Amino acid sequence: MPMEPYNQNGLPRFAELLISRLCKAELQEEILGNLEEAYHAHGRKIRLWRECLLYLRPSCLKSINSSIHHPMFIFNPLLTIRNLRKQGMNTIINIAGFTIGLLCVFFLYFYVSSELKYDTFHKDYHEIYRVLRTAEMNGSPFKIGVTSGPYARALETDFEGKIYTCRASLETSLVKYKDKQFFEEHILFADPDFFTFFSFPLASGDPKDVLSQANNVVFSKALAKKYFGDEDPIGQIIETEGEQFIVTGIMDEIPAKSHLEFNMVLSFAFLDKYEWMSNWWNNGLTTYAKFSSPQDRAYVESQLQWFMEKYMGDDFDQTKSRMGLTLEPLSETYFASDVRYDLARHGDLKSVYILAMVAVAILFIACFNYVNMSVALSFKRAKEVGVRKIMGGRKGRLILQFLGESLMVILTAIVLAGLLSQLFLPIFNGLFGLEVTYDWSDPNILLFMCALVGLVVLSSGVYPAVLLSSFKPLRVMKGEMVKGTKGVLIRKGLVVAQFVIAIFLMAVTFLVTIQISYMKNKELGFNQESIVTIDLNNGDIREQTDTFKERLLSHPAIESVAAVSGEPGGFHDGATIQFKGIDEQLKIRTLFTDYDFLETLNIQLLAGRNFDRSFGADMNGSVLLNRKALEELGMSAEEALGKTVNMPLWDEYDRKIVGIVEDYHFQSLKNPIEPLCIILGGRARKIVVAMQAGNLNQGIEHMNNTWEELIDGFPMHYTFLDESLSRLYENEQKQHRVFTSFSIISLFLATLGIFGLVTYSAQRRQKEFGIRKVLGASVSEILSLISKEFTFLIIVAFMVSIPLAWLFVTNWLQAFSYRIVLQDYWYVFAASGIVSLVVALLTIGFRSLSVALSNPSESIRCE
Amino acid sequence: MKGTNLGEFEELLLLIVLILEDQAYVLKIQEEISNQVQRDTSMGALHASLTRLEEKGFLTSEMTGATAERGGRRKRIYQLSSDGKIVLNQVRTQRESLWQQAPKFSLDAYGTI
Repeated sequence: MPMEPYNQNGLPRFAELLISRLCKAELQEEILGNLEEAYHAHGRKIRLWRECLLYLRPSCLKSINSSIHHPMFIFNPLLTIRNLRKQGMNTIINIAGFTIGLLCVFFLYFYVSSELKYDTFHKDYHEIYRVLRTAEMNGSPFKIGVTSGPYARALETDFEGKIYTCRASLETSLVKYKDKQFFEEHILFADPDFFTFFSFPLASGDPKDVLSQANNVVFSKALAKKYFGDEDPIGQIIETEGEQFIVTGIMDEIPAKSHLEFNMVLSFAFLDKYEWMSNWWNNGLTTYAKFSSPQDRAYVESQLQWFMEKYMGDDFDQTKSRMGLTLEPLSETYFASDVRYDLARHGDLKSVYILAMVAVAILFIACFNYVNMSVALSFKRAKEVGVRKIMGGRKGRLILQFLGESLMVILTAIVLAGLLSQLFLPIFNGLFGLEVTYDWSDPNILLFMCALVGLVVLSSGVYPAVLLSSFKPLRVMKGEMVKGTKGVLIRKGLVVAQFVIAIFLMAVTFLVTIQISYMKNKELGFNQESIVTIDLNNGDIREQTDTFKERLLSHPAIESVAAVSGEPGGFHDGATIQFKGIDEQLKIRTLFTDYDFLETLNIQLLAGRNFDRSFGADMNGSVLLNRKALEELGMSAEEALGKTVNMPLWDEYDRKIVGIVEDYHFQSLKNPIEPLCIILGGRARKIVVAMQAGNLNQGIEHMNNTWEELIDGFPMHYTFLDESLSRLYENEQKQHRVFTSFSIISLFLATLGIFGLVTYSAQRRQKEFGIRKVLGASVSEILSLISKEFTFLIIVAFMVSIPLAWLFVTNWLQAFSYRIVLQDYWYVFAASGIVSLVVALLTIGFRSLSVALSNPSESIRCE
Repeated sequence: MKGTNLGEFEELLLLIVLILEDQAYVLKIQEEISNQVQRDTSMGALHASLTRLEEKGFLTSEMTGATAERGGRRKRIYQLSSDGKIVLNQVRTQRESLWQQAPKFSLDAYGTI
């Protein structure tokens, strides 16, 4: 660095720069001199800097208005506002575009951050794991969320000091307090160390011993309010499951969300006294594990197979299939949607990603609009830039000025979006079926906004700013290169990109709609209309199932009733069956039911006979198989009928195959049909009622009355089968709504962009059109002249977006075993292209018609 | 209110400038204030006050006397204008008259320090 001659003993370079840049020119010599002389005398850096900075006061600083060259060239807010106002319509379009984009992004931000925060409030959440079993069903491995009672104790004994466990089990039950009673759906049974193992906060009670006694219960705040009102809940006695419990603690609000959804915790000691709790195969609860170090975890993980063999090796030998054990980090639990039989609340990571991508795409469209518009308008400002440069405005200053305009636009949009977002929150929540709340106090949101502003200003401001400031003043003043031809390619590229996104989203929306309606209308192989399922959620009603059935049937509105272990779309346990005389075993789904099942759901019998009351032997063991089971075994119906099977793990009963039923979709259409064994008898969990289509209300009333006659004070819980079936596709329907609304928004924004561009293009070519008209061009010819270039762009966008949409939808459809064939729907792609084209052309026509219609003499006249 | 009343610090500055005669520039003024009345000031603050006094017409200034320690830059030497001398005299007369009216015992009672 070359030193100035008088700078030998050195004022620091930066100090000199600071003073010479910021202080009044006439004071600089004196100030610098004083600083240097003082520095020379005392030689202390800190003191020098203090003096230097203290010189930066209003009496010494340059005034903002009288900067280096001329007021015109510094970043000047007033000038910015004036410029923006001059561009009126375009500014509004820009701000509107950004505002809409930001509204989506804000909503998305809070949604995604709340999803990703699940379960992270626990003190050592990265050391907590969920214990899952792994198994295989006819070739495909899967995980199982539930384990049985003995796992926890056995793990702690076998790996003493390395692992700590906690068990939790979700139940539903009726809870009574004095004369109040409610049916509670989120009751958690948990080991005594639950509140120290996890960090669920307690408003009152000691985490160490709130659950130490078998008759202790902890309430959530809201639940305590519901039962006890304003009374002190601690020490109150409630009754459930036929026993009395004493309230020993109250939970506080959970700081974030949890995959465990509960509002009442009972001590696990209550369950421990049951004999089935010590059965290794009675799986129904979740086991959690905590490790003191990653090494311990690695060690335990390596021993898990040994552990399983130790306790269940004999059982595995018997069933000839083995199960494994695996650990799932708590931080992944919420998104682990591939786990079967899971009590936890789950989110869909894919949905989160899709939502995030779509909102980013929207923001991009808004940015592109802005870039496009600024570049298109740059020719208008070429003269302005020329004049500024001639007056001495440097390139850097001009870039600053243009970036300032971008900043102003984006800041306005942020403020608007911030204000409007509260207004739109319920609309978005309703639209997407979410429960997002805005928490503006989150410190990250500020950071996020700053990053957003920086990103948007850079991405949409830099190109126009650099382009504008690079005009050569001399040529501009001479009137050359005012054609606005600069950046035409980029501009076109951006329009194409916008329409790629819009067409992509539209095509995806159409196809998702088609897939969903396909699933809704697909023949499932059973009757789902006018079918109601009633939960047998209470011991009394289970004992009286037969009486209940009989009384229900006495009403004319009720046609048929069957007790089942799981309704279609519901729970069908997996088992292994062994065929007598064949060595082969088959993994199979099971359904326990009674004589009336096939009739109630109208399931077709292919061969053999249905269960029949007149065959006394049926009760001792008869089964029906579905066609898929035969296919897996490679048997014909004739071969299979009359054979006996048994289920090695459950009992040694021989059961006879009496009939074959047609395959029906007893699971969601996302899964292929699996082999199914329908078994007479067993424990019923639900009752399926077929009713006369016209008499639903009477039927339900009769059901309620009958229930009340049999059970006192326990509410009946029923659902319509078609509703519970469509709930299987809730996620897909949410995604569908997301695509629908965002494809509309993106098309709107892209159209907004075209609107602006056409406005500019029509104005610029007004004179040209005038001359063309004078020479005999018709209005429609002029319209087609304007629309031609945009039509071409949209066709290019169409070509690009179709393969993308095709890939995406193919991928999305992978999740469904039963899906539409994309080739059959080629016209959907064409349709989305045509829709965009029509919308764009309408916009163009609307905008340029006035220009095309105007009297040529007016446009040519003025010079 | 320019040109009417003199603040306490302004009075001090005028006096210091008077004492320093032709050496009255910011650096020396700062030093003098520090030595005479043990006050710590920054050059920036002094500059502001001096400029204000100049605007009020009590001081005049001139750029002279470049030295090597200053990197060859000149310094701004301040001088009292006639208005400045008048106002300083006024303040002094007022104070003295006030002092004379003050009863003796008050000083005896509380001491001078």
